[in-house]
Amino acid sequence: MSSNKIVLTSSDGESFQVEEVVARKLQIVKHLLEDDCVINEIPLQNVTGNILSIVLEYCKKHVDDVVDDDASEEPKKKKPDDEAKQNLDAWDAEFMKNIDMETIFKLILAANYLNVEGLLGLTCQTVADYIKDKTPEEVRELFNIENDFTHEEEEEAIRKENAWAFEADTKHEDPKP
Amino acid sequence: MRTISDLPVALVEEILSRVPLTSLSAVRSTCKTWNALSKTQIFGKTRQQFLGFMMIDFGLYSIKFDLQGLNYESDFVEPSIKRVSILDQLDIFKVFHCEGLLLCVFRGNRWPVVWNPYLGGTGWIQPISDFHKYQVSDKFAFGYENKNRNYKILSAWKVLDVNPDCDIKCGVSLKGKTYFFAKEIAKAPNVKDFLVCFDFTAERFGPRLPLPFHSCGLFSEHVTLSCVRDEHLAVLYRRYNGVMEIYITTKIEPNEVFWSNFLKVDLTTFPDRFYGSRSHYFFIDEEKKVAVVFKNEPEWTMDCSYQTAYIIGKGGYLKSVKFGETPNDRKHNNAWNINSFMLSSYVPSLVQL
Repeated sequence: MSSNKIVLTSSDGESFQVEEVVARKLQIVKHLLEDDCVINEIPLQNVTGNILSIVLEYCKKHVDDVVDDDASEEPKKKKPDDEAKQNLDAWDAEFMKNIDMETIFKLILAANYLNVEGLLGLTCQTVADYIKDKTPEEVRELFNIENDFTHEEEEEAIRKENAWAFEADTKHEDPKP
Repeated sequence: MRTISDLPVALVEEILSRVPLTSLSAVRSTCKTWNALSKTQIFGKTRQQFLGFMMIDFGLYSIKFDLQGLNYESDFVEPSIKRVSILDQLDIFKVFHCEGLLLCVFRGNRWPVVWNPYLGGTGWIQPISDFHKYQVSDKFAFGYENKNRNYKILSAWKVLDVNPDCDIKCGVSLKGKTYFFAKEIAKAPNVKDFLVCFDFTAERFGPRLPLPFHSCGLFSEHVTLSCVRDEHLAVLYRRYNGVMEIYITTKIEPNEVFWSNFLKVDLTTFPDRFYGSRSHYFFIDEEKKVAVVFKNEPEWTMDCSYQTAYIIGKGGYLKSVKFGETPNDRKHNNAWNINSFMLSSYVPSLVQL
């Protein structure tokens, strides 16, 4: 495969010219290209330019990732060694650190629509990590969720029923109450 | 403002499924929708921590063992245990586990109860053998028929009916079947030991399977089985001379098993009298290439007692961790011995009981 360039156009008319191999990280693009038609420009309806540029930044960094279901005829890429993987993970962490919550949700939707697997996992994990160590009150505040439990007892019953799974913040417990 | 509630349900599920199991209570208490979503799929499936259950002094505890911070001393979190009080009114004697369900056996001739911690339900399951014959000291196995997930219980009484010349020592559940470590009853050093599988679909035992060692049958030797990710078995063999070997299966089926060496260590080099322990409950973290072995008896100081576990790695890595500290006072019963144990193999189940 030669280094073709493909132009991706966002819903608000912003265009991005990228290497074909980068564009193929978006499975939605990959499927379009599979029919051997010559396509130079692809419009992407559900993604704004702002979000698309972030997606493409991720794809450029991850262009060498090994994908198990890659049906291309190119020889299988070598699996990244531990150090390379650690570097990528560190890059991912830094990448997500600078993105605000609202943008993360837009990225989740975009990664889902464009089918960029690594990015969907990364963004969902980032949100999960925000939830991880918080109390229900903190989670509700962070995501603007209404507490729709009708009685305090209901909520208390749930806490009791799931106590075996540990609260996130109890490190040392007196084991015998 | 776009927030999590604006996402389609499938994506909310994708996010919540990545929250660790230790946040289950918080997630379910956030709102009714999340509570309901958590019951239709398994949350916390990214297994970064080892969760399991143990019986200590006939009380049921859940245990959390986090090995994530192992490489960085400052990040290491000591294991913690928590009393499971939801079943406290029942006099539980022993607990067995199969794919996220716990079989609780009681003192007295009561039917065992199956508890699904993840969904919170309990139920009863028909035992295979005639139940009136069971005694509290008997061992049980717990598994299911392949096709329709029909859960069943096997009591050791039934086992003895079938194999009277065998002594079943311990068993562990794997993929719905139970694998037992058994010895042919004979005088040492001619004791033959083997692995055998009970298939709950066919309701019978498979052929004798080889173990990667031959124990001498001496009292000081111990063998324990453990489950690895519900895909493989691991066996710990402690020789009479204090050398401990751990093997893990590379293939395990009811009629075939292949083993590979995981770890070998001389327990006599350990700082305390660890090798004198009666039996060694353990689990393996393949990713970190360590085995975590628990001392079966508590340690005592002037003020308290506590449990000890050893994290053992290849190349002589050894770290001991304390947990479950209990003050020595009249309020607490200080026997504090581990009776049953299943760790690392707990994965939530969606089976309604």
